[in-house]
Amino acid sequence: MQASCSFNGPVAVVSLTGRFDFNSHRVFREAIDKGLAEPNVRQLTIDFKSVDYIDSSALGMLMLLKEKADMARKQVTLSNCSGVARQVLDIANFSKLFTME
Amino acid sequence: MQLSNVPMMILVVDDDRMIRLLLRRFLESCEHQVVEAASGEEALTLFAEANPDIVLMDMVMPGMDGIETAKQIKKMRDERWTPILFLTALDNEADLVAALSNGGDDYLTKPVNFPILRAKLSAFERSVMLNKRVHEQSIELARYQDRSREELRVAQHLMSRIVSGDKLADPFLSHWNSSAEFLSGDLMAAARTPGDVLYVMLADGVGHGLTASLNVLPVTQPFYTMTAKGFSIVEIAREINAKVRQLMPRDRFISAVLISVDMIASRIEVWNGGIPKVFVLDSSGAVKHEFNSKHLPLGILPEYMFDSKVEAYPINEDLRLIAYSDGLIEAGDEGGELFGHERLIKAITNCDVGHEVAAIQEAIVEHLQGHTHHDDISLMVLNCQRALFDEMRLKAKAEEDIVGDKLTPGWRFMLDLGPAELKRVNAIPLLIHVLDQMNVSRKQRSEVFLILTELFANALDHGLLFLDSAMKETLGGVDDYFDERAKRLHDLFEGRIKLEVAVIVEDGQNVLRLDVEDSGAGFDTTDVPDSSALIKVAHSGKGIALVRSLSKQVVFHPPGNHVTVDYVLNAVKV
Repeated sequence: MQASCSFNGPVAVVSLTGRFDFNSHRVFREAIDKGLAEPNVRQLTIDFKSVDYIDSSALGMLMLLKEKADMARKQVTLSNCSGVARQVLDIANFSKLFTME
Repeated sequence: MQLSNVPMMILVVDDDRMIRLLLRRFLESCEHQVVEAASGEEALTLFAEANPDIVLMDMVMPGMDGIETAKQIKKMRDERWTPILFLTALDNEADLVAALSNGGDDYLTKPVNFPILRAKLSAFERSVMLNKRVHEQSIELARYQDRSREELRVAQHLMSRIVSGDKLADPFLSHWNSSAEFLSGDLMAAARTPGDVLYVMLADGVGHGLTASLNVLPVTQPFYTMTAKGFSIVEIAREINAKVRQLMPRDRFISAVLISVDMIASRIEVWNGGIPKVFVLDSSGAVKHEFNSKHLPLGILPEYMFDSKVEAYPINEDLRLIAYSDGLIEAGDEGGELFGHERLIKAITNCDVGHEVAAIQEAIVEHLQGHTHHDDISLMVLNCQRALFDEMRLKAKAEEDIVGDKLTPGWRFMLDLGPAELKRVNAIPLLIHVLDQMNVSRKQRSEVFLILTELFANALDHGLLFLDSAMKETLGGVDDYFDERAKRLHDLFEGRIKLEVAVIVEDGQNVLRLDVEDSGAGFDTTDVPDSSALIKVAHSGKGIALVRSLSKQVVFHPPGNHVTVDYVLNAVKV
C-alpha cells in the first residue's frame, strides 16, 4: 500500500492506495503522524478511494489512529469507502466510531 | 591518502622469527591485534583459538606449506570469509596463480612494502567488516528462529489445551477450523448452562498467527466459567469486552458472535459484534433469518458504552444455524473471486441435515482449486432439533447422579435486592453457586435453575416493570419485549425482590423450598395455568406451567406478589 498526506486548510487528507493490510503498518503510521503533528489540523480524512482491500489489521490501525487523534483533539473521517473495504467496515460497525462520508 | 582503520585481529604465519617481529611492530602501530604462528600446524591451532579477521601467510614453510595451510583454514571456516594474503619471495607467475587459486585472496612480495601492505589491509577491512556483520546477523537470526520456534511450540500446546476440541463436543454442534499459519487467530467455544441452554462463541482476533491467538486467550475463561454459572450471553460479552480492553492494546480487539440456543424457551438469541451474518436455515435449507453484526467488536468500547442489545428468533421447527469467520467467505480462488455467501448457502441447501460442515469444506476446496487461503477459517453449524434435545434430556435423567449424603436440611440463604442491584447483579448464578456448595446434583441444579429463572423473571418483568407478556405474541414481539424490558430496567428507581432458598424436611423427603417475593402489586392468582397447559400456551404462562411440572407444589400467596415452590431433592435416609 502507498499512503500520502496532503493539507487542505485545517484538514489533513491521507490518501491510501492498494491493499490496506498487516503489511501497511509503517506506511500508514508515517502518513498519519504527518497529519497528527500539525497543530493547525483539526481533522484527518482518510481517503479510501483507491483502496481495493482491507483486513482486520487495518481496522486495528484505524483504532490506534482514533486513540492518537482523540489525544490530539482532532477528528477522524473516513471517506470514499466502497466495495470490500466498505463491507469490512460495516461488519465491524465502525460507523459508530468514525464519521463516514 | 586517508585510510580507514578499524582494528582487526591478524594472524601472521611465518617460520622466520624476524619477519614475524617486523610485521607485528608494523601492524600494532596501525592499531591491529596480532597473533603469531611459526608453522602451518601452529597456525591451524591458533586460528581456531584467536578467530582472526585476516591471515598473512608465508608460502614456503617447513612441514605444512602455505598453500596447504590455507586450504585447511578455508575448510575450517566455510560460513565466514577470512581473507588470506600470501607473503612470497617468488616472482614466479605460475606459483602465484597456484597460490591464488588455492584459497589465497591476494599476495605481497617479500621484502614486504609496508605502505602497500597497509593499503591492501585497508581494502580488505571493509569487506571483512561487512562480512563479519552479515555473519553475526545470521547467527542472531538463527537464534531468533530457534526462539520463535520454541515460543510457537509452547503457544500451540497452550492453545490446543485451551481450545481443545473436546470442549466443542455437543450433540447440536459440528465445527471446522483451518488456520492460515501455525496458530489460528480464530477461536470457537461451546458449553451448556445449568439450564441446558447451549451457548456457542466464535471469536476472530486481529491479525494472524501467534499474536492473534494470544489475543483471543482472554475470552475463553469468562465464556466457560460464566456459562457454567448460568449468566446470559450479554453478561458474558460485557465481561469479555471489559477484559480485552483491560489487557490488550487498543488495536487488538476481537470480533465475536455469541449465540444462545434455548430449546426449553424455544428461542435463539444472538449478540454479534463484527462477525459476518449468522444464517438461520430450516431443514430444507431455506434461509429463515439472518443475524447481522449489530455491534462493535469486543474490547473497543468502554464499559458504560457497551451495547447489550441481543436479537432473538423463535424456534418453531427444527433449525440450523451457520456461524463462520470472514476467512470463509473471503477465501479467494486464483482469479481473486471470493467464496461468498451464495456458494455457502448453496452448499448447505444441497446437503442432508447433519452433513453441512463436510459439504461446505468440499465447496471451499473446489473453489480454491488447490490454492491456500490467506486467513483463518472457522465454521460452526448448530443443528437445533427437538428430537435430539429430548433424547439428551432423557439420557441426562438416566444418568441421574447420586445426591451426596452430605446434603443436610436446616439451612437457609436469602437475597434481598433493590433497584441498584437489580440493574447490576444477576441473582440466579449467585444462588446456583450456593446450591453447588450444598451438594445438590447437576441435574437437580439445572431444574432448580429453570425454576428460579422463571420465578425471578416473573417478579421482575411483571411485578416491578409492569410488562405484558402478550407483547411477545406479535411478530417481532420478543425483540420488542426485551428492548422495552431493558429500557424500563434502566429507568427503575424503586422496588425490591427477595429470594430465599432453604432445605427442609417434609413427608420424609429433603425438600428445597424456594421463595420469591416482589414489592409489586401482584396479580389475580386464580388465573394461573397448571402444568397441562404447557402445550397450549405460547409464551405467557408457559413458564409457570413448566415450574409446576418440575415441582412438588407451587403456591401463590395473595395478592400474588409472593410465590413458594417446593422441589423434592431426595428421600431422607433413615
